[in-house]
Amino acid sequence: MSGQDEILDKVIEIIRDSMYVESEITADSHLIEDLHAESMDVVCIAMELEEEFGLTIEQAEAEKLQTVKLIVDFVRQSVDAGDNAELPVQENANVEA
Amino acid sequence: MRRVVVTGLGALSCYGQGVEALWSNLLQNNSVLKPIPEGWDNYANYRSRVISPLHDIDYLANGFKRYELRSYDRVALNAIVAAKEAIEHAGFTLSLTRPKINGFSIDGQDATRAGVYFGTGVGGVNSFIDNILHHYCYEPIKSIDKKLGADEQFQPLQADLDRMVHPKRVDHFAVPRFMPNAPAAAVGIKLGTQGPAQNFSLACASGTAAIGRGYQDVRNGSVDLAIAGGVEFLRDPAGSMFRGFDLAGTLVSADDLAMDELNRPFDKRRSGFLFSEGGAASLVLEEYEHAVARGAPIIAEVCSYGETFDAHSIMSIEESGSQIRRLINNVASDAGLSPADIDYVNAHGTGTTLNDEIESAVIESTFGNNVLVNSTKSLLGHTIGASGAFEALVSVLSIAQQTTHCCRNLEQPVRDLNFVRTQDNHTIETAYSQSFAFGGHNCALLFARG
Repeated sequence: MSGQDEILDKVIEIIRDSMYVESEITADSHLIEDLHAESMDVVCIAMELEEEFGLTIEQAEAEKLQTVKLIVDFVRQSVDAGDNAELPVQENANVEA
Repeated sequence: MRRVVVTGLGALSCYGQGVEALWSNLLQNNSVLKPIPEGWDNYANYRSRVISPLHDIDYLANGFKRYELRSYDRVALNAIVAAKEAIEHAGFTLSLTRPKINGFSIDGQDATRAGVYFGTGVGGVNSFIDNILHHYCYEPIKSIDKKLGADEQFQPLQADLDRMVHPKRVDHFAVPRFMPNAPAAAVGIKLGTQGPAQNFSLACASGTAAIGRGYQDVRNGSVDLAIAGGVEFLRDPAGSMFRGFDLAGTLVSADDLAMDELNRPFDKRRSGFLFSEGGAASLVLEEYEHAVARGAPIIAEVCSYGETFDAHSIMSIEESGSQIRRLINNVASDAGLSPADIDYVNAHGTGTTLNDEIESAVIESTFGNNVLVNSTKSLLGHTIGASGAFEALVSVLSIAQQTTHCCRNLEQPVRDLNFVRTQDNHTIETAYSQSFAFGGHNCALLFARG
């Protein structure tokens, strides 16, 4: 199971890959106020988190995850709760690993 | 009337990324073939057993960001790859002026005088299929899986469930990924053009139509620069697109020929076209004085474009070829020529029984028996909406380099035409490229030495 710091590092990496960010990203960063994320960026981040941690994030839930810390806490709780059960799935030809 | 020249080319094909890979492999008479994926046999029996796979590229290494891979189907990404190569080949420099969206501007170009014209037969069908599969399969399979549990008596059913392949997650970008206008929009967003950004969907004539309409807009003064082309991406997890063409009886299939010999346009032993996973080809079209003013390389000139329509059948070419004949005469006369003046015809040349029979007869009765004829589909297979753009690109390079590729696997020609049989030097001052499509659309371009 991933440690808190490990999850934090991964979340920061995902945010940096999912949108254009000029400033430093910390646990306290607010996606919209500090990083200037738009709605499309938030969706991208949620999709990358789902992919990385094997989660399902409902849109209403994603919209509440407005700071890096909230995202990390959510991921940690979801991983601990085992919300990453795998079903037979295809590789999506359109999405690069 | 304003003159229109070709100043840049770009391509992504079965041979890999770039025009150089495309052209050198065509001249070497190479084809890329492989048997249909094993998994497809879980769903149906197919007459045809071969495809031409599209070369995969590393989009991140090509400068794309992950959010672009999320929001675009590969059909749009591939259009960008080809268009970007073409615009850089034309001597333009791109500056990253909109980093938030990873978007460029074309240095020195008035963005409002530049347009994008792309053709695609089916657009983001891959994303459409993924979305449908998730939508229909995910919850029912999850529910069945839960009910079956670990009970061993139900294990035989697991294999059936496993066949119901589907993405695990819903795609929030499903609509922008599969909307048919996405390729033109994506290219315009990436390159920062603000003139028309149009997508054309005329099945197998889409690429030709897009280039033709871009040419018309440059010629009539609507824009000075047209980034035009065609794109298709026909990969899907279970072969459903392939099956559609296979059921229609349009694909190569013959028991007495090796895989490498199956695709043989204009040959008496032809049996259909080679299914290609697609590709992208792009041409930069530019008003002549605009190109000269910036010292651009002029590869060839676009002389004419024309369209006719069969009004006959949604799937079959009209037997008399009357509208193809009218197309040829219209395109030639628009350039002040007669068909007999033209040196080279890049034919539609699919390899289907009916197309090659009718097209070769029309070529003979209009251009005569001396005009050089080849089929780029004899090497690439049929890239559907991208095919006309690949063939326009080949026509342009044939003029520029005074040579062209062979008609692959042509042993017993269907008619006594001057098919390209060896890769020699040829005098090619004018090149005509035509495309026909399901629905009855006929489109053609005429190029000349610039």
